[in-house]
Amino acid sequence: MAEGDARADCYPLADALPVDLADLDPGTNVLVSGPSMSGKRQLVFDLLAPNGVTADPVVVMTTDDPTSRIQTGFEDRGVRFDPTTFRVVDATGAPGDSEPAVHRVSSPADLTRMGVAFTQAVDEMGTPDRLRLGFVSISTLLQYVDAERAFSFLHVLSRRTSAAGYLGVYSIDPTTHEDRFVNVVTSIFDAAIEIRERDGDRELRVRGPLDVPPEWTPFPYSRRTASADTLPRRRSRATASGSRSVGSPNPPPPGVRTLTTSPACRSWVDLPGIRSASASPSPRVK
Amino acid sequence: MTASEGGTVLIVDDDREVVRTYRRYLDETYTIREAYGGEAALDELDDDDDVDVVLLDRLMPGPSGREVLDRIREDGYDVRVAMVTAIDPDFDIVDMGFDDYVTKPTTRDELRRTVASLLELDQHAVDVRQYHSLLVKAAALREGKSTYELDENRAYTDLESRISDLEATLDDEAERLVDDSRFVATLRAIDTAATREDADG
Repeated sequence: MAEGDARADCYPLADALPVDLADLDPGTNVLVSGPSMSGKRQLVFDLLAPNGVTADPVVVMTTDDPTSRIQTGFEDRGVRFDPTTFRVVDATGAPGDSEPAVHRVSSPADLTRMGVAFTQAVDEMGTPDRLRLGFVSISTLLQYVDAERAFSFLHVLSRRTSAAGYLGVYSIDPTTHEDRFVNVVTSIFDAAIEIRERDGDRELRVRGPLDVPPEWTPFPYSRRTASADTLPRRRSRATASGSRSVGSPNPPPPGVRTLTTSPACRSWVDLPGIRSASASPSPRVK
Repeated sequence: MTASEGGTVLIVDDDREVVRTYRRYLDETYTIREAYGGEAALDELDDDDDVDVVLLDRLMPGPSGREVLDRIREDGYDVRVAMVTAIDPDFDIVDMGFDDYVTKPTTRDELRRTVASLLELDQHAVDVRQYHSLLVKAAALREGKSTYELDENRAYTDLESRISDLEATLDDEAERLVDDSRFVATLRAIDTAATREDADG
């Protein structure tokens, strides 16, 4: 798997984000972080099935939203609830009919069963070369298992999808956990997309990719219905590999890991002191 | 887990000749325990906390390998289990709760390879937990300290270098998680370790 040249192409994001981030490398894992009712679920769905992009196979693992809500969310985005390309691992414990597209797990506390359900979902979709995995949410998982087990599960799951060249998108509500836990769990991910609210307005920033300034950017709630003029203009991207001369380096969240594979689509922040490749620790941005 | 001693393997088979053969294959590297039936196997697990890997014959008089496995899982023993079967399993081992399987008659190399692989994934689960614990310590040290203070802090820089080493180890292992049974067995190792700690605590 994943021998450099044979890697699948990048995962386009279209206009899912109000910043200049048009695609992500195969194997990337992204954390979407925001308080409740901030629209992070919508953003996770947008990253899994971006507007106007040829749909990739999707698996959504949920400890939180019942399948029906996920189904509705994706149908709103024009994604058919078709078991050949779309499956849900539903660990909410909610009762439901037997459906080919839904793999039920009795509780998020059963990490092994969640893993089994994920492998079955992927196998029954024919083990596609490309796949987007959504996980909603880390915060709910934490209500069922201790921090160490949750971390271990997320680490193993994210590394498994990474090794397969898949894209992983996980959500967390940082306001419901200690900062320390959020910092530690963030280190599993290659990039963190943070949402916050200021005076009723929503803002977003991205940390991790080298070429995206980590600046708070307005992210209106109504953007899916807003006219194209109100959306930030995108410039077309031609990412030359090796072009690392970027104006403002983007500091990753504390402990965000750097991508282990050579970047096909993006440049990633080197985190001094974390990667064994970096000889001398230099100041960490805090 | 006693990594320095290579780990402890419990061989379960009603055929004493088979047990003797497996012991010969393994005992230069691992500590060996033996049981000639399902009940004896469960007794052995109760008595001996050190068992890391169980080689479990599928067809035995008394409780079958499958029944013994179910008891092992229900009781939350933190052991990896390879089923030993005379025929290729015609069922999904991932779904049944085995971590691996060995087909009879097995060779020395195959048996040793299977045990080593199960101990490696056990170690992977231990390493992820250790990685988490080091990250928590590093995050705690970072709180309220400036970057300069941290760079001058020997404990912190040591921690960072241990984190870095462990991360490299975990990344090296990641490719093998694409294998379904290994991925699930690793999650099970995470599950059972926590269950046992809960039970002890």
